Amino acid sequence: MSDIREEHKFLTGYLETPSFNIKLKYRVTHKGKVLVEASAPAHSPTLNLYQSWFALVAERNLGDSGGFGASQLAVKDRGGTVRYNNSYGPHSYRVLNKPGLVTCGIAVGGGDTTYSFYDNKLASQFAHGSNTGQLYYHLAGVGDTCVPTWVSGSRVMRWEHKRDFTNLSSNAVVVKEAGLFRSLRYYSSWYWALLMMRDVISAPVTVPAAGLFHIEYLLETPTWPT
Amino acid sequence: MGDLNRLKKMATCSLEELREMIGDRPRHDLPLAEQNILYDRLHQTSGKLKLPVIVPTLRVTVTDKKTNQVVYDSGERPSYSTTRNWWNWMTSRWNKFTGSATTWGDGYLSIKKQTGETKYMSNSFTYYNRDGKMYGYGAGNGSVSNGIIIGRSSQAEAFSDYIIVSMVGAGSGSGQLAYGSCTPSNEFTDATIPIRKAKYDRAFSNLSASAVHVREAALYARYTNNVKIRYTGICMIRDKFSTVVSVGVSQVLRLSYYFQMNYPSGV
Repeated sequence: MSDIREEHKFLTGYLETPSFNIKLKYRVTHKGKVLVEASAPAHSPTLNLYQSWFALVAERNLGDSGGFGASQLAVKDRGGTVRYNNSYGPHSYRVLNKPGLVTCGIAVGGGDTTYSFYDNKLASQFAHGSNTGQLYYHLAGVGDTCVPTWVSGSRVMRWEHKRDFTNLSSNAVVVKEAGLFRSLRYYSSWYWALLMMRDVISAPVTVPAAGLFHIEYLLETPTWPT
Repeated sequence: MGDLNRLKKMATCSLEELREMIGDRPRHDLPLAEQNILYDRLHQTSGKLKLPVIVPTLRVTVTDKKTNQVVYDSGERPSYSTTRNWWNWMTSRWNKFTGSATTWGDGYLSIKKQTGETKYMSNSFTYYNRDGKMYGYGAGNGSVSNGIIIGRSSQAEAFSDYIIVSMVGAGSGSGQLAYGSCTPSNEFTDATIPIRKAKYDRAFSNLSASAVHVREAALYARYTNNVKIRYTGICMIRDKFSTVVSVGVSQVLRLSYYFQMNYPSGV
C-alpha cells in the first residue's frame, strides 16, 4: 500500500491534480501518562465523500432519486435516509464546533464491522455522556478551529481535524472504530449529516475511566504547483 | 525501444522506472498516449486508495455547417492546464475558504477574477443554487464573462493564468465567432468502470467572411458567495492547443470540457 501511496503522491503532483492524502492519529492518556499512541494512513473515504465532493466541484445537484450507489448522484445520511434534491445544489460544508455534537466532526465507536465504501454511520457509535459505554464528546474540531495550514517547506495545504473524548464513567471503554462526519449544506439552511470516512482501528484501544482519547484526521494536498 | 514497448512498460512498470522514463520532461511534453497512461495510473491509485480525484479533459471539433462534416476532431484529451484558481476551488470545497483580499498566491485559498481582482470569503464559500441549475460554468448566448472562452494566443500555459490571453470576440465581424450558450449537461456514468463525468459544452459559429484561427481555450466559473454576491470570470483552466484550429466561414467550433471522477473498482 505504501508503494501505491507514493505513486499516487507522485502522479497527483506531476499531473497537477488536486487530491488528498489522509492519515489517522490517536492517543490515549490517563493522569498525564500516554498509554497508547499510534498513527496510520487512512484509506476509508465513503461514497458520501465521493458524491458530495463531485457535486460541490462540478456544481451538480445531488439529484438522483434511484438509490445510493455509484450510478446515482445522491448521499445517505447518518440516519439511513438516502438524500437527494434536484431543485437545489449543495454549496458548502457547515461550520460546526461545539461539545456533545455526535453528528458532525470525528465520532468514535465500539463496532468492528468491516469497513464498506457504502458505510453511512459507525457500526456502533458511542453516545455522548458520562454513563458506562459512553464518552464525553469535546469540541467537534471541524470548522473555525480547522483553518488549513500552508506548509511552505513541502508546499502543501494541510487540514488537521482533531477531537478529544473523555471517559467520565467508572468503566473502561474500548474504541474500535472512528469516522468523520460532515454536515453538508444546501439551499440556505438545510443540512445532511454525512459520514465521509470510517476506519476500523486495527488494535482496539482501551480508554480507562477518567482517560482521555485524542484523535486526528490529517488531510494533506499534493505538492502545490508553481 | 519502440513506442509500443515503451507504452506497455509505462503502463505496468514500477514507480522508480516510471520516474526514469519521464525524466525531467513536463507532462505536456509527453506524447498524448503517454499522458493518457499516466492519467489511467492516477485513476487506478485513486481507486485503490479511495482518494478521489477529478480530472478535466477537453475535446475540440470543427464542423462544416453546409455539409455537416466534421473537419477537425482533437479527440478527448487531458486538459492539464489547471490554474491556481482551480486548485484553490477544489481544495476549499473540502473545508474553509480563507485568503486575503490582496493576496493570490501560496498559502491563500483565494480566487482571482479575469479582471485581476482577488476575492475571498472568511466563511461559507458559496450560496445556494437558487434556480436549481449549475451556476458554476454556465453562460448565455454571446456571454464572454463565463463558461468556455476561446482565444488566439499561443502563449504557454501557466499555473498563474487567470484570463484568456487574447480572446476571440463574440460576434459576426472579422476575427470574431458567435458564442453559443455554455451548457452544463449530459452528466453520465459508466457502471462498468465505474466513472462519473460532467460535461460543459459550447459552440462557436463563424458568421464572418473569413477564417478565424483559435489557439487557446479557458473555462471560466462563477459563484455566489455567502452574502449573495455573484462573481464571474474565474479562470479555472487555460489550455493552449497543440495545433492551430482554423474555423472556416460557416463552420462551427465546439469545445467540450469534461470533469471525470472514477469510483473505486468493484463498487
